[in-house]
Amino acid sequence: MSAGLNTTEADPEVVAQVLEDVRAAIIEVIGEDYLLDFPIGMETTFDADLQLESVEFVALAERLAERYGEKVDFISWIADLELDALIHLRVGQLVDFIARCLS
Amino acid sequence: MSLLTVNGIRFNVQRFGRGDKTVVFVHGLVLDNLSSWYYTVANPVAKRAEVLLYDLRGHGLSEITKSGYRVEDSVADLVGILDALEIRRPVYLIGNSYGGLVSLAFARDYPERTAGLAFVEAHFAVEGWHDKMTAKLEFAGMKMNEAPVREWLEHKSQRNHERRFRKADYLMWETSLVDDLRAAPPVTEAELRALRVPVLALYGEHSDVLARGHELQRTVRDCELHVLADGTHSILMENTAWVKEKVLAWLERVGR
Repeated sequence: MSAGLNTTEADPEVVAQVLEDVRAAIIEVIGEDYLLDFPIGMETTFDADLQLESVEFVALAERLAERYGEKVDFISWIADLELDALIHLRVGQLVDFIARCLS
Repeated sequence: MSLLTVNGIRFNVQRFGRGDKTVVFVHGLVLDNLSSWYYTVANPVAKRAEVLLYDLRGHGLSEITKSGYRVEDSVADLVGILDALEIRRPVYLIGNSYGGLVSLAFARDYPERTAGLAFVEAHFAVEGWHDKMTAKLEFAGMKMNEAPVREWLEHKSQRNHERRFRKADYLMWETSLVDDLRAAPPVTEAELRALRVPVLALYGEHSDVLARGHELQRTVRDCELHVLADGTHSILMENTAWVKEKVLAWLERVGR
């Protein structure tokens, strides 16, 4: 596993809030029409579960980068991820990364 | 997503990172979009430069139009995007496959706005290219060609698959794309010789367009050619680390 994916503890309240933010951003990007009939949780994968197109993931990352600003360094995080890890990313990995930056 | 209206068309544009250079990435045809750069080289470059990614007309999340797929249209779109974003300083253009041809045409038409060119498996028109490009496109139309992030497609998830290929099919068969590309005039040796900016050329050893790399090296004054052993036309995905390393080292060198 890439170093960028380690999961040091973040404040659980922050994690819960970030998960909400990420859920909302996902819905904005893919639209309610396509939402699947299961909840988006930490174990949900962007590719297999959400069936997000790669170009939509980019749009999602942009929304989140705008939301959190300088506090969250998406560029360095994504730059350090291996392509395979990025493709098979889980919602929880993204949430943990953001929560650690905010905690 | 950031949608920017240029030439009456909505373009999906991503601008991030900062530094003393602006680096513009241009992706390939039909199934490709800005994500192939975002997932590979754009973020590492953005740690030290301003990066601009955009989806070509008809691709990714940019608007699809019935016509306007000539190389000069692509150049006009790019110029319009740079103007709309008020990017005035000369830019480094990094083009994959067909994106290389757009970059080359931009550099030819706007030398004062070009700081450097990096080609990854760039196609550019030479005599007989039409047949090759058309064959390649028809292959893409059969849903088998160079996916930007092939693993995504291997899942063939319903929604993903459906939307992406519906758009690709429309682009291939309902727009002027193929005819426009067939009509593209060949790039002349004189045009290549006239390039005054540093050029990086990355090709795969087994690529069907490797000859373009050798031609660049032979004709362009400052051209650095690297050939990846065992690589094919898809070197960006086959060996991302190699492409990334070469691009970062080149940007470091030419920026001095």
